Amino acid sequence: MQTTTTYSGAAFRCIPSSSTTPLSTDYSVAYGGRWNAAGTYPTMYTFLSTQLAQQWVSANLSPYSLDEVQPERLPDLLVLDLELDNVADLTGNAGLGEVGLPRTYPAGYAGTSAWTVTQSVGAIIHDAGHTSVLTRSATASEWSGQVEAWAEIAIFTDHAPKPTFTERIPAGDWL
Amino acid sequence: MSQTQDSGLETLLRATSTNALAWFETHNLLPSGGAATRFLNHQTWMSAVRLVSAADPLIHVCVNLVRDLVPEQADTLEELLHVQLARICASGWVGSRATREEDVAIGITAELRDWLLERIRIGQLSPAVTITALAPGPVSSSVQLQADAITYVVMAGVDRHLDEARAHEYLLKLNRIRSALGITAAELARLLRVSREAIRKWERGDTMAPERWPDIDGLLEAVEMLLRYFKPEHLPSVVRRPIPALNNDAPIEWLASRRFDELATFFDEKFNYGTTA
Repeated sequence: MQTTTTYSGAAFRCIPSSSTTPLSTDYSVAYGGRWNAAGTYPTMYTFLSTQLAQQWVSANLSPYSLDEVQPERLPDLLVLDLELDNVADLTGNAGLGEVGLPRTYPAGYAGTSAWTVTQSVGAIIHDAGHTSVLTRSATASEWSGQVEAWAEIAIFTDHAPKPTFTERIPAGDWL
Repeated sequence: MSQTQDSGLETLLRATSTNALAWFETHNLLPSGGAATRFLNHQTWMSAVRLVSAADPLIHVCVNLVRDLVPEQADTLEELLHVQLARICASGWVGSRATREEDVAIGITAELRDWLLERIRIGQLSPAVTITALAPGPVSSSVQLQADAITYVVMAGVDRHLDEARAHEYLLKLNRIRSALGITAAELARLLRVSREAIRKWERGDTMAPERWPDIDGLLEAVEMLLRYFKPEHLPSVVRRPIPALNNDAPIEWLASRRFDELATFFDEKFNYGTTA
């Protein structure tokens, strides 16, 4: 893939408060995700801002509000430091066009039913040796302005350098 | 405590056996249907079951009358009196009164008084409570109780007590389900696929068929699962809210169709936040 970038900075990951292996990618290998099919390569899904992570938690819990959930069931926030090169950049039209996704992506790709398409794209990117995918978040409603406000990075942990753990923030302190 | 309860307690703790029996008779508490006579004559398993059943109302009234004196131990006393029927039948009380039913009734009273006196002796009950022990009078006819018959009546007493304890346990479970989900008796009936009348009867203390227990256990387990995810005060609203991912069904619909495992999987995934520990 020609459209690539680098990323250096913080990333945020939501994990169950009971998690004892917060950097594990076992779940994504077992069940798959937007950019990896179940049983394939390990992928760690991260947000580039806490605000986006908050929006994702609210969307994930919908139709329930944070206030209705038992506090211990709300996720902790893992703060990571990333140094990534050879990042497949799907934030703009060039990158999207290169992998056959429409300029309107992720509109129309919100549900897991769309994952068959994105997983195929993810496999091509992974097999080409990229470390990660920088992509528009399906949680955001617009994809302009500061990239941190609306982008996610899916890290192929078998290709990327290990993220540096910075901090684990309890749900009560970030939600 | 009402006047009737006061006079009942007074009778139970201090009256002569004649006065106690008169009080029992007035309140229709003597073991009914000749059950004691039949048991002592036949000494069979079925007659033991009937004796325990016939003596049950008297045991409950006695325990309820003294419950305030020994609140922590009332359940133990109830269990004890169910099991002690064998001892009463094998004791000197049989043949001491006009009928075997009276023998059993006064034997229960004597056992209860002895037990309370023992509580006083070991400091679990205030010595200010006056209790008069009862001893059997001259026996007009003695009955030899076979070893098997003693076993029957002990087992029947244990069975009866366990059934009652289980019925109470399931009543508590029904209450737990109703209060957690904030549902009416009619809604509970729908969840358990029984009539509203059945729920009303169970809540009045009627016997619940053991076949119903797994349904209640399954529903309660699902409710407890939901309570692990949601605050109790919000659960009634949570279970009624349609969820797009569940075909716009509300969780209470899935409870009604007993899709407990699917519901647990749905919430397990929702609260796993796409990662795992």
